[in-house]
This record gives sequence, structure tokens and C-alpha cells, in this order.
Amino acid sequence: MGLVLTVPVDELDISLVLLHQGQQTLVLEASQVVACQPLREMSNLPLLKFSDISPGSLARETRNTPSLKLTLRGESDVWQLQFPGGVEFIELKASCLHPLPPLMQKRRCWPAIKALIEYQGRILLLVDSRSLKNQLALQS
Amino acid sequence: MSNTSVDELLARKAEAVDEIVDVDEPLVKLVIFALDERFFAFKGEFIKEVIPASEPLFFVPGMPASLQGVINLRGDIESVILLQGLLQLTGGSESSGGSILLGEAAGIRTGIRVDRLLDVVDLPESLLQATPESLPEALQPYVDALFEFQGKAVTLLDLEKVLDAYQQGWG
Repeated sequence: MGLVLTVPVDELDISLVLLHQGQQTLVLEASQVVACQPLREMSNLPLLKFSDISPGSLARETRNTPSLKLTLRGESDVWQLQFPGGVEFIELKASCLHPLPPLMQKRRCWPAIKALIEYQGRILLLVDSRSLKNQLALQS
Repeated sequence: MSNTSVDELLARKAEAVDEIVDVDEPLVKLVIFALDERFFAFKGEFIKEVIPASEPLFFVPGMPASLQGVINLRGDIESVILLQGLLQLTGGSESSGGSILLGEAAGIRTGIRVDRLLDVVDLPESLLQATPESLPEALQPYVDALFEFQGKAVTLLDLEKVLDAYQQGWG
């Protein structure tokens, strides 16, 4: 029988995409991000605006920020998210990934909220692109 | 020197035993705090820790206003909530001072922001009074008892009922 080495879960790596918007940062799993391009590039994919769920204060903060277009995986298709801000790709150890505290799981207003990420002394929100599409479609 | 009768001595010893029994009266540990200029308490068994307000709080979008955010407590991420909405008090969502009580009840652990931590006391259970009918309607479902502390009335809240209502969407 061969020797099976099991890596402790906290030592596994996760690849993430950070979406910086004003003073806030949202996180997506990198595997859910297909592409990132300037907004002006033409596409036939469905396009939804992130500003449809972001609070008014954020909209003011990012009024003059150029928008990007992220191509994201949906349930069984791809879609595009118009996002006013910067994008960053990072890799972290799984020890930085935290499940939502139970109360937040029960009281969340955004169904797309999935988990929390500990990064550079901050706690960031990880959202699920498939749920985000449904959420944005309902709110737009 | 006058002799004391055996009966009297026995009676006094019996009284002394009674006094000892009095000392053993059940005590309840209470964490007393202020919220919006009113005094409240939780039973100490439900409060795991008192966290200073200086602990960095991280805002999480997509949550109700009464859910202030999260704190990183030695690697464990804990939510922090405000109870003013649930208890229909006027103070509110901008609160950032005071202390955070880490409570655990109804299968939930969360931080609860209070304006001021006043004291942690061991109180004889006999000093807890039944809740009067005149209590504000919004408080009634969550109140266990009333008691007096430093001349002021304190409302003892049932954390199980409070967190149960909060997770069901109240407040």
C-alpha cells in the first residue's frame, strides 16, 4: 500500500481576485473570473453593474474611477460585471479563509456573501459570482 | 459570672447554622451594562469575554445596520451586533465606544456592543424581582427579571431569547 500524505487544510493555497472599490475590497475566487478588460471593449455577454448593490457612499467615492469589465462564471454560463475600481490577483493560505459567523449567515442581505478573508490585517468579504449574478439581476 | 442555659446555647447554635445556610443562598453572576442610558444585565454564564472597544472592527457590506461588522479575536472571526433596534431604544448604529460583550446562547456566539460596562456582580437570587406588567412592550419578550444596582433599576435580559429573536430577523 502506498504512503498517503495529507496536507493540513490550512496549508492549502487559494487563488483570489480582489476588487478594490474606494475604501472597500470585495473578493472573488479566481476560478470564477474568466477575464478582465476595459469597459469600452465590446461584448455580447450580459452585463450587470456592481453599483446596483453598492451603497451610495461608495458610488460617490468611485464617481471618477474608470470602470472595468470582469467576465465571470455563472451557474452554467458566463456573464460580465461592470466594476468601478482596481483588480488584484493574490494567493493565500487557506488559514486566511473564514466561514461566515452563524449570525451573519442568517442575517445577510446579499445572498452572494459566502465567506470572509483575512488579508493584510483586514477582513474582506468573499462573494460567489454565481449568486452575485442572480442578486444583481434581481436588483437592477 | 452568669451561666447560660444549655437550651439557650443550643438555640444560639441553631441560629448560627441558619445563618450559615443564609450565606449559601444561591448567587447569580450578572454582567451589568448601560445601553442608551438604561441599565441592563446578562447572566454571566452566557458572557464569555469582555472585549475593549479599541478592538478593530471591520465593516461588512450586505448586512443589516444592526450588524456592525466583525472583529478578529485571536484568529476567530466574531460578528458584532447592536441591540438598540431589537429593544427599541433610541441609540444606535453609529455606536463605536463602550465595550463588546462576547455572548454565547441559542447556538450562536456573537459580540454585543454596549455603551458602558458597569460591573460584574454575584447577586443573591432572592434579589431578582418578577417583571412588572408596566414594562415596555418591546422589552417584555426578552426580560427575565429586574433588580436594583446602585439605586437604579436594572433589566435582566435573557440572552437565549435575545439571540433567538435576532437570528430570526428581529432588530
